[in-house]
Amino acid sequence: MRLALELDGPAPPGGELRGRVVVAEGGTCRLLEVAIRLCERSRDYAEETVFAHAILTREGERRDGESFPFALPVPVQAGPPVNTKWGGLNWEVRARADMALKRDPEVRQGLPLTEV
Amino acid sequence: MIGIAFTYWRKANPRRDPSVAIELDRHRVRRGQEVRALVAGMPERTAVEVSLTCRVHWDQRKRSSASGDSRGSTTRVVAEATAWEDFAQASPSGEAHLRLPADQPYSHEGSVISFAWLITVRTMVDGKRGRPSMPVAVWVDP
Repeated sequence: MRLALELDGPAPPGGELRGRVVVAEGGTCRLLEVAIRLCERSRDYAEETVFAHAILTREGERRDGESFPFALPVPVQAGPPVNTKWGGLNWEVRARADMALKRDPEVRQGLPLTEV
Repeated sequence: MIGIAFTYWRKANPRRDPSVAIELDRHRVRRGQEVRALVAGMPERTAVEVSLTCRVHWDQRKRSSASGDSRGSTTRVVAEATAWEDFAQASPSGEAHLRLPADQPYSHEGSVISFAWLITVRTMVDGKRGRPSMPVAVWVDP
């Protein structure tokens, strides 16, 4: 199974991000979800925090080209990526399918933001 | 032993100049904007330097060396550094304008890495820097 992420455009912090997850290559999954996450990293550690999340569909066979629209609230504190020599942070949108006994396919994209 | 402990303590708790203080026109600002600092208790005929600093705190893996039968271990500690710093001279009336750089990190309190913006002042006597004042925090939005 393979996924694609289509976003309608950038959204302001505190606003709403709209888009859809498209099944690029079909398969059977237990769950299909999308989330806005903050990814922090230092030289030695990395952590990811989910700020908004939606389950798009549960158990079933997904066909090629099937599309699942979503709307997620953009956190007010979301900002552009920060990169320093000590580490950084990055806001991203991630779609993921939960597969039984297989590697979960996922697709990630930087959170597109507009000025408030 | 006490001397070493004091050295570490002093590093974490530097001497501060209690005679000067800073007042800001606002404590929340966006990157690229300016903040106005007013130095209170500024001594006459003394130059005062105002510094704008971005401090970064990040989680670091620290390894303890193996000794005897032990194989050593790792612990998660918070390390600190200056990510960015700029200085401005206060005017004779004690005023200084500081611009937050648009290309530097914004304020963030995270679980792995954090960025904090601080403003401090210190007197300059015969070209020598005095002790810094207590820092004042400013929250920088993206």
